[in-house]
Amino acid sequence: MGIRRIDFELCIGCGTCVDICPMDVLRMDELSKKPFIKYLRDCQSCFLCERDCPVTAIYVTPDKERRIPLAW
Amino acid sequence: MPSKKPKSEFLETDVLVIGAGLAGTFAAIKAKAAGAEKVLIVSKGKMGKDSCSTFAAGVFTLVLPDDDKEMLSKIYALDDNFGAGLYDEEWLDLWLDDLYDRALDLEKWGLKWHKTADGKFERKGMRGNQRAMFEGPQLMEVMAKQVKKSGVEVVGHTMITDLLTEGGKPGKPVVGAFGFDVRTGESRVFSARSTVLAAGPCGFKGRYACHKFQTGEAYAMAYRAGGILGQFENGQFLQLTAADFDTQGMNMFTSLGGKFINVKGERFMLEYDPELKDNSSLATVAQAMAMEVRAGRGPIFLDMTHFTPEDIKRLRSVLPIPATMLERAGCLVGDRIVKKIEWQPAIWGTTALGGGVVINLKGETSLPSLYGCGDAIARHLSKPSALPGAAITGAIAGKSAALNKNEKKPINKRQMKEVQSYAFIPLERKDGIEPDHLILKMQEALFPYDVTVIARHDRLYNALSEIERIRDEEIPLLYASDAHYLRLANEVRSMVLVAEMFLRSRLLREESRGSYIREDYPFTDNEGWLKNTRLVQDNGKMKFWLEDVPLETYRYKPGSDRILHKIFEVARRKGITWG
Repeated sequence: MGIRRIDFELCIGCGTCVDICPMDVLRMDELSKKPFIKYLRDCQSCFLCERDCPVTAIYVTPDKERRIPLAW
Repeated sequence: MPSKKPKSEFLETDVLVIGAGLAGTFAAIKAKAAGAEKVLIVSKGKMGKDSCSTFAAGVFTLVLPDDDKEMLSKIYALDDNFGAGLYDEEWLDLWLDDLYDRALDLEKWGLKWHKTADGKFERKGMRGNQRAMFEGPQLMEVMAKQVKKSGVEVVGHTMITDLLTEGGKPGKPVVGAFGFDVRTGESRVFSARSTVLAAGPCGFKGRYACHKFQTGEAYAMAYRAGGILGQFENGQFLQLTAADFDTQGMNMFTSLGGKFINVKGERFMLEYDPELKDNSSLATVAQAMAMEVRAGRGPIFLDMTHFTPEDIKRLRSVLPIPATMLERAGCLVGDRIVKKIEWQPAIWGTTALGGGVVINLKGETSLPSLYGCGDAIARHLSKPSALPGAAITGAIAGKSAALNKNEKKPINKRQMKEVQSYAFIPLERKDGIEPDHLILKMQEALFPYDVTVIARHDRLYNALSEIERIRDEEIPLLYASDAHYLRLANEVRSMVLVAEMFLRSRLLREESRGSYIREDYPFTDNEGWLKNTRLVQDNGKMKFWLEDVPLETYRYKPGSDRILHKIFEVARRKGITWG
């Protein structure tokens, strides 16, 4: 289901994932200074956040969040 | 939190580049190199992370100085997959000449190409092209770094919705652009002497990662400003992907020996394209799949179970992200592909090849001081296209924009207010339709294979009626609760407009050519249809006309005959009916 998990034990709150998400799925929580998944439906499972996370705190699955009509 | 009454920011520049993919970043770097005083590049997300090129499949068609350009030129010109008779030979020459220099630019800026032991570019034959390979996602990281190094100013997370024109009138010189911050909702007004449109294609939020954010703003803003667009009916339009998940890397999968099979286990591409087989053009494979499904032999699978551990190693190096996807979907385990994967044609929209803003050889559009490049432009159905095309046209547009002799003109305040209030309508409403609903409705009209793969008048017409209904009845009710949804709402508006361009252009072309086939006109008609479609906004209506291809400039002239499109030829032989 797109971005599935941000491991707060590992997360250092650097904000990279929030900055790079091309679909603007993530936001930074002001209090905890950690990111949260705000617009899950827009996650496109592109794996950029997982790939660029410096501490491998993020896990993404390839399942689509929105139903997309197939060709047949 | 986004405010209902957003603030405004005013930014002035010499050259404004809208879009920060490979074309836009090339344009910005080359504009600066050509002497532009201030260059500003805007991206909807973060530069380097929000373009199709970010997800590019690590391959780049490359022509080396020693290659026989005459022979290549003939192949591209006459091949029905690349040119289909509608190519522009001047562009082809330019493409063949510039390509190597752009590859060297990339290398100079830090891109790691796969090289042979003696330091030469390593190329692999894929889909009839000689393609060089680089390591996956580094391309846009290299470009983003070079943009910053060049002293270009970067504005991120900003969606441009409209161009601004002299005196606020359509068809006049472009003097800047309007957009908003997709997180805060703050308005951004850009004033520029030259503007480069590099905002990418329209993928209709289809199957591919990069298509979720490539939603046709370039076309929509050029259309509303009175620019000339064209060629939306043709081009590549189709890609192929796994049915259950989205992945890129088709070229790589089949060049490593992946085979398409139907439900009976038959390798049907041997019949549809005996020469290139599974490496045939993506359009041909999509059309062949559709014919097999129509004949009751679906679904279709991609078989990669025979890949060696060495193949998998190569796959992981060139396509790290698709490799992860295959792994997470349970298809790739260790160093083997463990199952046959269901595969389908998927809308690819105008990515790589297809419709867009019409430009000349200097990258100039029909609107003075507006330049176009990359997937934002109408590509000439042979080349330039995809990554090489983006690099080449980006470099040309950037240089021309810097050398533009027109003086800087002021922004028209009335127009600025108009485009601002249009962009913000969904945020001003108290209630209405969520963008999600309209995305799905638009896709349901557009995505069925009997509209996109094998078309016919009645089905195109029905799809168009639905798109017009969405345009007239539902778009006015679009609702956005914050800046993020405002972005989506504006994306829906662009996509529905581009869907209309696409369907109307398709209805106009009454023949089957290259990637576009229709069963009511199964012949390629060189007598009547060596023409390109053109469109412009005229009194609020989409006005179309046809323009002859520049046959007088062709060295390799297509025949003047009518021939049954090769897909229908094979289908006839196999006893598949149409009508």
